Amino acid sequence: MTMLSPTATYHAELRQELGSVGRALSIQRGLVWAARGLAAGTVVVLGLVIAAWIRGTVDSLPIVLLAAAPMAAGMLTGLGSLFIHHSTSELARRIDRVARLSERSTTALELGATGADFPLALAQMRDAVEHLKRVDLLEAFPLRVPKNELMTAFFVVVIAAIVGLSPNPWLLRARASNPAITIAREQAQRVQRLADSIQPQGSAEIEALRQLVNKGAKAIDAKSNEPDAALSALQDLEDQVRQMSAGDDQLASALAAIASALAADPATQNLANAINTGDMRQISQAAKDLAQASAGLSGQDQQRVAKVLRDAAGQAGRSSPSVSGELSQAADGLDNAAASAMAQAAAAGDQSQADQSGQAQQSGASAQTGNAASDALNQLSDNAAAAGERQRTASQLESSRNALERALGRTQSRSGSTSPGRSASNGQGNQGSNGQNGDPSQSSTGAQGQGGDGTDANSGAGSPGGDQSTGGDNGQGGGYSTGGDNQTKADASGSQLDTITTPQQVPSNSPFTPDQSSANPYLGDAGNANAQASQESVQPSFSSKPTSGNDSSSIPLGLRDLVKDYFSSLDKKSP
Amino acid sequence: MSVLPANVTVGAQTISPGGTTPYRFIETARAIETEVGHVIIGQPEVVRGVLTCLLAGGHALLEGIPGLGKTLLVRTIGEALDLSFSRVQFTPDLMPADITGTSILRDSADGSRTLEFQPGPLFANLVLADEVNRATPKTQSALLEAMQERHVTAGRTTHTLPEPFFVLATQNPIEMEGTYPLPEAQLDRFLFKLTVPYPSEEDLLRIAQVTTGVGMPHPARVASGAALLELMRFAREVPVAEPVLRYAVRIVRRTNPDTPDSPAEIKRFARYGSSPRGLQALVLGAKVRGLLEGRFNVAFEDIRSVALPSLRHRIILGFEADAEGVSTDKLIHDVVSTTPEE
Repeated sequence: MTMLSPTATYHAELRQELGSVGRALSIQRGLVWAARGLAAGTVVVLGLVIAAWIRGTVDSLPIVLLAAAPMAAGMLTGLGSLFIHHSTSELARRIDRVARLSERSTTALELGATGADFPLALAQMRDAVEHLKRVDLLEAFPLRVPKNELMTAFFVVVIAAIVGLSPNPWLLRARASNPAITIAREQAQRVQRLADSIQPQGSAEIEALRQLVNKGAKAIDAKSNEPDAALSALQDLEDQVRQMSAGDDQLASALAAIASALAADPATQNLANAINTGDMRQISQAAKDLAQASAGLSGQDQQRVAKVLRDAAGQAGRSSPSVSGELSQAADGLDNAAASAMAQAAAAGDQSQADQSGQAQQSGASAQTGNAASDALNQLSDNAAAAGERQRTASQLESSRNALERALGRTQSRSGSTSPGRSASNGQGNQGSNGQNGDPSQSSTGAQGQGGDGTDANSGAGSPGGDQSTGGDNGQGGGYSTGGDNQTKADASGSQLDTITTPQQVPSNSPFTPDQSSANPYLGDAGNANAQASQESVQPSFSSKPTSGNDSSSIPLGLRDLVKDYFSSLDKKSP
Repeated sequence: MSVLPANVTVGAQTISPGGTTPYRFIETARAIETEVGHVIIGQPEVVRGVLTCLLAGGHALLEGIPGLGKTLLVRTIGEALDLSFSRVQFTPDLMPADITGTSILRDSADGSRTLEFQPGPLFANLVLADEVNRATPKTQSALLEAMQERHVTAGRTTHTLPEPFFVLATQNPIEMEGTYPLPEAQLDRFLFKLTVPYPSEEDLLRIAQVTTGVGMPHPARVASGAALLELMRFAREVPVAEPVLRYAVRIVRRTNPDTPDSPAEIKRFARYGSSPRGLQALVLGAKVRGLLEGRFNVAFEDIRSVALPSLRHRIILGFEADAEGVSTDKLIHDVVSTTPEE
């Protein structure tokens, strides 16, 4: 057992007592710093509230986060202060001052450090230790509530609440003088509703679209007090959606190309009809239905459908290799399934005693090949569904942009370029310039609005693009048009949804391959502008288009009546 | 009121307060204060100052108008300490030999004559140099040499003064005619310069009651010269923490107008600041005060308490201070109040 010297013993006792002092000091300091952190946090919150108040976005502030931030700041600073190291000499000076120990601790600490052992030194150290032991640390370092900091935090919170709840007079004045702000906010909400309406249904593409639109809606909302910036954000979002839709044109072209081929067989007639509507949703559903129905077809039917799909794949090969591939896979799958079924039937007739296991294997192979066909068609269905959502989104965004541009007093110059095939000319219309009857490349449904007197003759065999109509609100001076006019395209890489009406995509029984030159049979009587063919003869489903278009969500709700009226007027004009 | 620790017991060691000086020091000092306080009425600070000065081994200069009890104070302390006491009334015709002593020719029994040193009044433990500023500089120098060297030289022989040796000098600040103010170098030899204040009404009443009666109070003897020497040695052992010591150093430095961070008043009114001897006086006085307060260490407060008596006679004022009536006490107060502890 080692006997410590008196000096060392007193020194150890002194350090022990000072350790207690350090802990008491840390707790006291932690409380103070926690309150300071809380106050600082509330000041930050006040800053955020003021910033939001200035921008008019107080409603979008996350209340829970605002409440949690000061508390987190207080806890962090309070806990952080506990880790501040206090030297023993500092603690000695502190307790000497606070407890009025007249530098007893400081002197004793020095004596202990130097190992002084003369009687007066020992008496001094003993005196210091005794005095330190008598000190009530709670009295020396009382855990007082830091009133100043808490009062500061309280008043800051009150100010923040007042600021947050009170309307911004400058903003109100600005909104009153600039209705575009209100419209920008409305469009931001509209885009947000659009984002909410997008149902991914397990599709990664649609989910990505939903996230993009959601993010864009928030950006527009954040800039709604600056309509120009909001418009810019909206245009950015539109551009991004368009970039996502880059492959949709090929898909649409391919679908258009295969429509006639699919119409040749009753089993694929529905898909052909859906393609003719141009509504990707219907196409998706029809493809899905075909995928389900293909499994139940007889072997001969499967072979027939396979042939039709293969022909369609051949037609789509130029426009979209992927669509062509999917159709080919489906055809192959159906062929294999038909072959398996026929082999199974033959085997059943010839060898009635065939073992059950062999039949089971054949049956399994048939199902496997049938699934391959279904998968390919389902893939086509998914692609169409994603394209449909993108079309709908683009249409809505364009509508919002048009509304915002009108509020800002700008012409909608981007319409033609951003959405070829669905030009939204502002009161210019096509003024009959597209009235080239018999020219299938000039499918247009005119325009209405200021100066928009276009009642273009619908010509060509292409399906009208009116079912994707977008445009401005009627009566606000902004015209609208449906249907595409390729002559108005400014962006060659734009959507080719309306290229369904382009000559090379017209279903034809011509023996010539597309690469060979030939006289276009549809141009024969097109130049005299005296075509007397009825609308229905050109496009049998013409009259049903407004109705089907209105039923789809691609036409804004407020414009559906207008579209319907327009097409009704065409019905009256038609001979 | 401080709480004195009981017997210090560490392990097998026991340090008995009874045999050690910390406790005796305080007991003795308090006993002296008490005894002197019975005679000297209403001057506790002065009594404490003189006692502090004695325990620190220094000499004190008391300044005050006549009749305030300066002489009585010194005599009472001498009686309480059982010390040999002598009083010298300084006058312009007082010669150095009158205070140091002189050699006289003495006839022996065999008829021969020898020179024999006859000690002067300085050969006492406690010397009261009354109105020291009335003597000529020559005589003052003799006194101050004895104060510093603690011996006197007569002829070719050096005579050591007895231990302990204290000089308590008094001077009258108002009667300046026919006086020889002490030069600064000689003032510096005094550890403390104490100003004796005018008594309050209550104190005057008590003085009248006590001193005009039949019997005069006399102090009891509570310590011997040997005990006082022991206390003096002990006082020097009192530990001083470095922050406290640095505080004292800062105060002394800031009395010097050449120090960059000295107060503006010092720069304006002081010609010279305190010497290092002033620092010694400050620390020694603080050590004694700490003990008298029941502590075994020096506190910042001790330094502040002894700053005035330690430094007031060491700061030399300029003409502007005289013109504006600024005293050294005010300057020291400014210095102390503006000097940070840390």
